Amino acid sequence: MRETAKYTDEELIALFQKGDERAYLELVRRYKDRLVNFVFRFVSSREMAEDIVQDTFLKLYTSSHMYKEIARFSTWIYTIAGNLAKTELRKRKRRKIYSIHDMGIDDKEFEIPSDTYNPERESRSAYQEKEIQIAISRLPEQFKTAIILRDIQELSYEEISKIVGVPAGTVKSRINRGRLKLQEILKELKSK
Amino acid sequence: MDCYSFSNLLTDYLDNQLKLPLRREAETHLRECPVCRRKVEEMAGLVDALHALPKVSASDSFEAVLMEKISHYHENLQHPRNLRTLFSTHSRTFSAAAALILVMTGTLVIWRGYNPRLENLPSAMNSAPVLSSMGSANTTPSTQQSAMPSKGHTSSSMALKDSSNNKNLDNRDGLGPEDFRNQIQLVNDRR
Ligand SMILES: [Zn+2]
Repeated sequence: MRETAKYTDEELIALFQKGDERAYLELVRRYKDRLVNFVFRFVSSREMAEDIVQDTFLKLYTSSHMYKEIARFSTWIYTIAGNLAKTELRKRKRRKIYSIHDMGIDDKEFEIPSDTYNPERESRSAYQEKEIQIAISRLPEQFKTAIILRDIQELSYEEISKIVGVPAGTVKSRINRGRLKLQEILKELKSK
Repeated sequence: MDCYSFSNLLTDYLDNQLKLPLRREAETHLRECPVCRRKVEEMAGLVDALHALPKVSASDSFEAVLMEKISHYHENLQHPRNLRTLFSTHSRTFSAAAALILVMTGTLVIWRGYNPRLENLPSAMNSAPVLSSMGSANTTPSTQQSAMPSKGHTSSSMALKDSSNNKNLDNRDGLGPEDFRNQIQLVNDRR
């Protein structure tokens, strides 16, 4: 076991704020996979997801003094990654909006990471991964955030509420509406 | 409990958030109502499919690339405003921006010549695609590292505080222009 593994996230960032770079590395190792998964579901590109998460950690490196103990570290880092991901998506949207394909993101852009592809699991599920990913990308941003954090990252209502900055009741209503909307989009996709 | 009240509780029911008396009522309704049972099954299937999505993880080179980004950051701290590097990395952006400025100035001059009333111009310009793509060209994460100056740390921290500690992920419903600026600022603040 690494020596740093025994510390909580909050202890680690406190150590890093005092200059301990091993603590930084431990935080990176704890969060890189979760954040890459989170951002990947958001932007539908693995390469872009990695880039955004690296930028998130760069921000942690350069601005760790901005972290205050009132928030959980996970909330803080998710918020930064989410903001960067959203900025990236909006940039893409603006570039796309005047292009010939005015239908949103082109389906060809959707990447399914081959090392995670599991035909057996795929056939058991009513939906294909690619369909789900396309449907998620078509959700309005607030619903998308709520659904990814709840149903993919499996965070609690409370934590989502802190990351997103709205009351838990609002989170719940977004999850509710987001799931209904997702169902609707998936039905549309199936009927095509 | 009727179907309408049940449909309002569907998420709570699926996410195990219902307190006991209400949970019982919901279960009683479900036993009696095939329509709502079907709704529950469908939604549960969707939630399961979301849970079962494969977890994408960081690639093997993730940490190495991150360390590179960090050392770039350090280099730029030591050699602030290394214009030559900055220019060579961004030369395409710069020339595109320069060309755009030329064109826009030209347009403005022509416009002024033909039509002295300029009130409508700014809004038209804001929605021009070419303008927004120019704005985003500098903010692409991969091209950013070399543009990080050593100073501006204060503004960087302010922006981060605004967007991360206080403002959170939410947009207070919708993409207000102010909010939009904050998002951009968060990414831009390293410049
Ligand atoms: Zn019913």
